[in-house]
Amino acid sequence: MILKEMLKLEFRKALRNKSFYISLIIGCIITMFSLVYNIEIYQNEIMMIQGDRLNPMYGVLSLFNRWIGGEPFSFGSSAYFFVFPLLVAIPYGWSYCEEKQSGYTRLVTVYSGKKAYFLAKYAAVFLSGALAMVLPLVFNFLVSALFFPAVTPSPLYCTSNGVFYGSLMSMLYYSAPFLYVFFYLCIDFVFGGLIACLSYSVSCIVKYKVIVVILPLFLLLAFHYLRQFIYTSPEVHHYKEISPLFFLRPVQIVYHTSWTVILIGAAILFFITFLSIIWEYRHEIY
Amino acid sequence: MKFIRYLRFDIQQGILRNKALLFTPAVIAIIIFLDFVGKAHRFLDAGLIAEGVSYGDYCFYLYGGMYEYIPDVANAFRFPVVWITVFLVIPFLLLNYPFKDLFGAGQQILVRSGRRTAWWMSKCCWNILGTILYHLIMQLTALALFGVLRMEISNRIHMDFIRLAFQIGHQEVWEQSILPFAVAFLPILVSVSINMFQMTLSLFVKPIFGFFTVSLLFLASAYRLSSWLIGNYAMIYRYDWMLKTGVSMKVGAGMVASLLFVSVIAGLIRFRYYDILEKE
Repeated sequence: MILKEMLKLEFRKALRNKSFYISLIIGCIITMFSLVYNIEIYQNEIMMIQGDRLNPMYGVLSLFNRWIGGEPFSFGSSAYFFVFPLLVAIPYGWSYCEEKQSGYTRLVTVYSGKKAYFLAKYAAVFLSGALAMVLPLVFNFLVSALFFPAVTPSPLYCTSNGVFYGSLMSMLYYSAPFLYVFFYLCIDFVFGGLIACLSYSVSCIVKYKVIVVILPLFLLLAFHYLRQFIYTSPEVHHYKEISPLFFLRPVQIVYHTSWTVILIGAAILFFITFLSIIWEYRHEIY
Repeated sequence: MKFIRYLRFDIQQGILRNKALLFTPAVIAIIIFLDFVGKAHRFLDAGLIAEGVSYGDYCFYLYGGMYEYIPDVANAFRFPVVWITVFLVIPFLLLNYPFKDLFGAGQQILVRSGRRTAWWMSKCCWNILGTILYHLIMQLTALALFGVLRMEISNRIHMDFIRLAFQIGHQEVWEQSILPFAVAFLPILVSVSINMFQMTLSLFVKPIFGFFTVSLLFLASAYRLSSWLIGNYAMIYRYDWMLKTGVSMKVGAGMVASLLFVSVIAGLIRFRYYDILEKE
C-alpha cells in the first residue's frame, strides 16, 4: 500500500516538474532542426523528379528515412542522439541527489520505509528519462508524417534508407516499417530510462546535482571512445555496434548492431543501476 | 579583501585541491596516446605510412578535429570523439567550483568583503589558469610517454599518417611537414574562451544549461565548417594552414579575444546584480 502511494507521489513529482517540461521542449526544438532540413531536401528532390522524365524513385522519399530516427546526416538528428544522455537526466535524474542533500530522504523514509522510497524513486527516474527520450522522437515522427508520404521503403534504395541487409530488424523495416519504428522507440524508451537511472546511481557517491546530470554523458562518451580499441582491424567490416550513442539510432551509422548487444547492454545498465541502489539502500542515510 | 587574496584562495581550492582537474587530463592523455600509438603501429605494419610518428603528429591527433563534413544520405555524421572528449571534459571539470564556492565559503567572504568585482575577476583568472593547466598536463603526460618510449619528440608532422587518421578523402589540403607553435596554441585559446563563455552563461541560466549549450556549440562546429562557429578554430585540420577551404587563424584569434572580452564584461555586469543568497 505504501509502495503504491510512494509510486504515485514520485511519478507526480517526476512528470510534473519544470525540468521535465524544459527537457521535452529542448528535445522537440532539436528535432525540429532535423524536420526543417529534411523538408527542404524533400522539396528539392520533388522538384528534380518533376523536372525530368526518368525513374521517379518514389521509394527514396519516405517518412521512414526522413524522420529524425531514419536519417543519419542532419544536424538535428546528430545533435539529438549526442545530447540525449543530458536530456534524459535533466527531468528527474538529479532528484535523489537533491533530496539526500536537503534531508528530505531522511524524513520521507520515516513514513514510507527505505525500500518503498528507493524503488519508487528508481521507477520514477526510469519513467521520466524514458519519456524524455521518446516523446520528442514521437513528436518528430508525427509532425514528419504531415509532410512525407509513409511509403513502404524499398530495399532497392537501401543506401538512401541506411538500413542494410545485416542491419537490426531490416526485414521488418522493408515489410512493416511502422512496427520497425515502434520497436526502435521501445529500445530507446528502455535505454533512455536506464541512462537516467545512471544519474540516480551516481547520486549515491556524488553530492553535486550538476555532476550527477552530466556524468552519464561522459560515461557513454568514454565507452564510445574505448570501443576504438576493439574495432582495430581495417579489414573487418562486420563488427557489431556496441556504443549506445550509435545503436540507439534507428539507422545504421557505422556498424550494425544485434539483439544480443542490445539485451546485454540493457542488462548491464540495469544491474549497475539497480545494484548501486541496493548498495545505497543498505547504507545508513541518517 | 584584495583581489590577489581571492585569486590565491581560488588557485588553492579550485586548482590545487581539485584532484579531478589534475588527474583527468593525465588519464585522457594516456588513453589517447595508446590509441594514437596503436593506430600508428597498425598503419606502419600494413605499410600505409613510410616512417614512425612524432610528437607533432600526436598534437595534431589531439586537436585535429575532423574533416569537413558534407551531409549526404550515404554519409552519416560521426562526431570526432577524440576532439570532443578533449574539449568537453574541461568545461565539465570547471563547471561546479564557482557555484560551489558562491553558495559555500565564498558566500561568507563575498558578503563580508562586499567586493563582487574582485570575486568575479578572480574566478575569470582561475578559469583561464585551470584551462591552460588542463592542456598543459595533457601535453606533459604525452611528452613523458614519448620520452619513456623513446619516440621522436619534434614538431614534425607526417601527412601520410594524418590522411589516414583523419580519413581525408578528396578534400584539398596543403602538404605540411612542421606544426608551428601558433597553430597548436590557438585551440587552447579557443578552449579558454569557450570555458569563460560557459561560466558567464551559467550566471544567466542554470550551469547544466550552460554546459548543454557548450556541448551543442562543439557539435555544431564539428558538423559545419563555418567561420561563425568558434569550435572550428579549435580544430587544427580546419585551419586554412591545412585545409584549402578552411577557416582563417587570424579571424579565429580575433573571435577568441572578442568572446573572452564579452564574456568577462557580461559576467561582471550580471554578477553585480546576481542574487547570491536566494539561488542554488
